[in-house]
Amino acid sequence: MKTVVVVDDEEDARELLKYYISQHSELSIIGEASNGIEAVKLINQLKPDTVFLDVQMPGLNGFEVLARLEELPEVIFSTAYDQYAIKAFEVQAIDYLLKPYGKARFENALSRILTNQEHLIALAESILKQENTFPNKIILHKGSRKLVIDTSSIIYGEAYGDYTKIFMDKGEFLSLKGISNLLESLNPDTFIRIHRSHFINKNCFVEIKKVERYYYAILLNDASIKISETYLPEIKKMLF
Amino acid sequence: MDTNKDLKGAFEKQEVKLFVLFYVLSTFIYYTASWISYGAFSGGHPSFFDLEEFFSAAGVQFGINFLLAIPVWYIVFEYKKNATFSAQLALHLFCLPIYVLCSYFGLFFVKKHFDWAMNWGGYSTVWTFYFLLLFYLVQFGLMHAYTYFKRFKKEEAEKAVLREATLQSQIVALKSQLNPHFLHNLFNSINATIPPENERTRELIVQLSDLFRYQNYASQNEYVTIREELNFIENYLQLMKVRLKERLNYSFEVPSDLYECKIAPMLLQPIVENAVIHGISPKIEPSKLTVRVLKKAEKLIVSIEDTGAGIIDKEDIFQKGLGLSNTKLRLNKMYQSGLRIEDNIPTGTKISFEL
Repeated sequence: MKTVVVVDDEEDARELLKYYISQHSELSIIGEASNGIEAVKLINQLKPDTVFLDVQMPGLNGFEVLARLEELPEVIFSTAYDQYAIKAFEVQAIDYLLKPYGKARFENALSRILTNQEHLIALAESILKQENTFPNKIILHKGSRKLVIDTSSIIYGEAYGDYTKIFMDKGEFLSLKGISNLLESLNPDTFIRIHRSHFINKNCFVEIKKVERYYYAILLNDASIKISETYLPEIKKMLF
Repeated sequence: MDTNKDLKGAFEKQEVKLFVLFYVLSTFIYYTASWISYGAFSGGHPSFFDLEEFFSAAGVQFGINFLLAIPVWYIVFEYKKNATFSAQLALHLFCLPIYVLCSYFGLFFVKKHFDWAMNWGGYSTVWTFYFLLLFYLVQFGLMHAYTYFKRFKKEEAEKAVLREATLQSQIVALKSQLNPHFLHNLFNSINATIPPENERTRELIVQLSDLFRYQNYASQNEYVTIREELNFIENYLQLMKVRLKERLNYSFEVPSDLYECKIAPMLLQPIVENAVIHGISPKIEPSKLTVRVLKKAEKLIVSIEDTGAGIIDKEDIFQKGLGLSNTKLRLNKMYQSGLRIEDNIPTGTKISFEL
């Protein structure tokens, strides 16, 4: 059973969607919103599995809503004509619902919803990036959930194969980006690489400890991370 | 065409006038300068209006230059008018010394004959040659600039005609200039108000909206792929079939390797429309419409055949509305090709064009 929220500024459009959705027994509608601001509140509150999101809306548009969600659900965008939106969807290879739609188009979009999801993350990230080169929010994974996290709450990161483990007060999360790739989206004034497989948030740095031949960075959460020789000069420069 | 010849005559008349005007002005300016420098109003110096003074100081010189300019003009601008600019420059390089020498010696002999003073505006021979060279460059430089400017304006006018024709054809194709955002949202609202059981009606509206969408897309792009244009035509024919039902059958015969070829948008629609409205619709029995695209040599051949009522007067169809005459104009301007109208076997019409 999947929970669904329908967002569109036209009541008729919402009614049609609700009609089509009601023909699927595995979908259950738990809410609807008629503008962007209402949508953000409702989705963050109810945390539905799936959202039908119109792009052109008063208040915030569909993209702006996406960038303000705490957790990313499955999303099907709909638009009547917006060239800019359609271009963005094509670039990210995301399927979208073109208005007007009949049952055929609706079913088509619904069946492609799962393949869309990875691309959706890329789209969300590109939206966040548009607002800043080093966005202050990034998308991290915990289990099957996708959360939008403030970068300032990251304490340190550790390379994990092709991915990166992120450590915060809230717990441990996963980024699907490799450590070097991830660091490109993080502000170098705040985040510094201290080892081939580790980077830290400078604001969480407490002190350096030397144990035998090696230097370790001690962080706010008492984590202790080895500083490799390559990066040592950078760290020293930062401190003194 | 007769009008072409008349226009050509008119052009040349204007050019001749400008040429003569140029010479008259140059002569008088030169004469004035010469007359002033030789004494102007001072005693013993002939008046400004003295004929002999005029001719000896400037008139003959420019007269000779004028006569010599004519053969040069003919060679470079008429006989070799389609040569490249560098070729024309080479010709000038050849003509220039001849011109200068003929002019100088021409004047020399005239002065000798009339026993006029052998002064050359008070300058040495070298400077006289320099002056002649400069004059040659100026007059032919101006002519080249004039020709270039004329050619440029002609091209601009042709482009404007083509743009206008393209625009007209799109306005005629689907007479709607409504804001697409408003339009498609409206269609969606209409869809929502249709009772649930009438899914078929909703699908028809979706198809109708796709026609508008393509028209909008076509008006913003200079070229579309054959695939896109055929999708549009198929959409169009499916909607026509709603009215005509079994009376309209259609098929597309296009090899798949031609799908991505680029053509100007909305070339087929007026022809297809003509076939349906005037060929297929008036007939009681069913007819078939076939759209064929093939590649022959390096050209694309597009043909639309119907087994409908046929056309008796093949010129008359261009009079009915703007669609076909516009297509003809666009084909002419963009591809230098025309519409071919033939009778189909056993009945009906075949309209084709090459790209």
